[in-house]
Amino acid sequence: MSELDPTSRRGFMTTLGLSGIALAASGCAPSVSVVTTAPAATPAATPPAVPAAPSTAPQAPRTPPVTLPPAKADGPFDLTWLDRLSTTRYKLMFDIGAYQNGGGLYYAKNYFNGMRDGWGVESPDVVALLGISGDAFPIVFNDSIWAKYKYGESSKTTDSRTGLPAVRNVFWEPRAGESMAEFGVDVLQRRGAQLFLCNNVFRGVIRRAMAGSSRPYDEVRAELKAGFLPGVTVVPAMVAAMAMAQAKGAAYVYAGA
Amino acid sequence: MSTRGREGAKRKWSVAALAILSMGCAHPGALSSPAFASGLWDAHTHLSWAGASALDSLVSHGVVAVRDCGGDAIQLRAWRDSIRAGQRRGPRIYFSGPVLDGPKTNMRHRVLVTTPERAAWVVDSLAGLGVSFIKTHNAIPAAAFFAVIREAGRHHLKVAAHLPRGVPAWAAADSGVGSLEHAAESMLSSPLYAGLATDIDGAMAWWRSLAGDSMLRHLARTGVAVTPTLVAYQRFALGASTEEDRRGRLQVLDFLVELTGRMHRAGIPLLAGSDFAAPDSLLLPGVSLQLEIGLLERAGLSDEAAVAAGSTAVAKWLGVR
Repeated sequence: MSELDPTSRRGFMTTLGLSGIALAASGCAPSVSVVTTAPAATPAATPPAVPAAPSTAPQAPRTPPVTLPPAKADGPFDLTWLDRLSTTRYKLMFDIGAYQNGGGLYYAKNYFNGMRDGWGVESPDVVALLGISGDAFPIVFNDSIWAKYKYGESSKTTDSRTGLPAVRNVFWEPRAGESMAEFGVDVLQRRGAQLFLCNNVFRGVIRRAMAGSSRPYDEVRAELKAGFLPGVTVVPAMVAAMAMAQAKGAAYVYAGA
Repeated sequence: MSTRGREGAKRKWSVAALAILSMGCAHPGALSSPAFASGLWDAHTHLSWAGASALDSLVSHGVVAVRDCGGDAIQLRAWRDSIRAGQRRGPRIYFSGPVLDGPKTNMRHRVLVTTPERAAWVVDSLAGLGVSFIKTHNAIPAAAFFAVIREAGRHHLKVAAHLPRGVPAWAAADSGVGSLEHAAESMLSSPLYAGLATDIDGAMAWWRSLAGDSMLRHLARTGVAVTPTLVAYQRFALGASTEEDRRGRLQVLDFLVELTGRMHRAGIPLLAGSDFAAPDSLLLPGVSLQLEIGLLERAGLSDEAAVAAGSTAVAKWLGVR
């Protein structure tokens, strides 16, 4: 367990017991250096030379700028959905960042019902933008991906038809009488729902699929993309997509739980 | 304890070890299976600190195995066995048991080791408990630390070291340590421990110098692995109470990311570990491992290499194919 000292400016000088040395900055070798001569369990055949940094070595600037991570090469992304939003009358983005047995989809069902029952408006005037991120990602995949990567087990989803961990996407084409019959993905799509998956989360899903195999990233990404339900769009980052959707007039609702 | 008593205790440990082995809890290598590596592996966890709820969370986030670097050996063994038996949901657990450390205010999940003699006895006892490896921490005296490495080798156990204060990475690696934990506290600290720098800026400059380059290549030749736990340092940096502190720590994080990339290019095996422990540490089971892999990508590892650091590399270090 890391024991970084939260009271130290850079965090670990006092943890190392060297804060006094740093403050003194005498330029002398501190006494701790003598332990490098402690007997090794398996003496090295040729102990490495440990030269000090040459005086001409480039010194770190005292206050270098904090760098930003490089851009990811997963694009280009389909952004045409934003253009279509301009002509939609009522648009609401659902922030579904938690699986919660499809609870976010249930919110969307209530939205469509409420708009119909209270104001008499339905698709195409009403659109629900379902922003899938976090551990809600299994929602966007088809049955073959659910079966192959055992999303039923990892998400603790039981298939009501078998009583076993689901090996199909239980939110796709539910049957009448099933608990999610009214908020199946296909049902919501027919009422004006659009599905979006955060690319940062998608990268995590790809890593899970890659782990333990020798398959390259691009191959696994292609396989998983081919396993999307119809109508799923990958966005560079869900938080950015939300900002852009709101700029186009969409409202926001948290639907993570 | 008398010598005779100590021998008796050793025999009891040996009997316990045999009992464990007979229950199917043998050395991890005996459990080798291709399926074992299927999924993410977290190379640095503290399950006993996090509690049983972490087991479920790890599985939900696709983590199928952990290398637990310090906790309650009896509890971890019980969790491991119940998971194997299908009685509990959780990842496969490979554990070190308690951390071997010097005196500290809070000795929870630690064993006090201050002399080489004590080191030998403790390692022998842990081997009898069926631990997968040995974990040391920064307050263990240097002489005891080197004795731990020697005794662990006699039991065919690797040592994962949070470096003792004053022992640089190369001294530990040359002595046969299996992995160095935390890029900040084991790698960046090393020039300070060796007297080659007197402050952090000097330590960073030393690693960036030709001497630092040479040392990275030397470390690669020893075969030692490094578990950077960059995400732990990132959380620490973001938790700074002032803007100045935050900026300074983020600059150190930048350096650690850069150093991690150089370690990778030099051929040092990297292990992705999150260091999640107590629930209030801001490090989350499963989520933080994904973030660590992302930071390894930021360090310049390919997608494939970063994922390998969080899966097959950990399995390989543990001797599980």
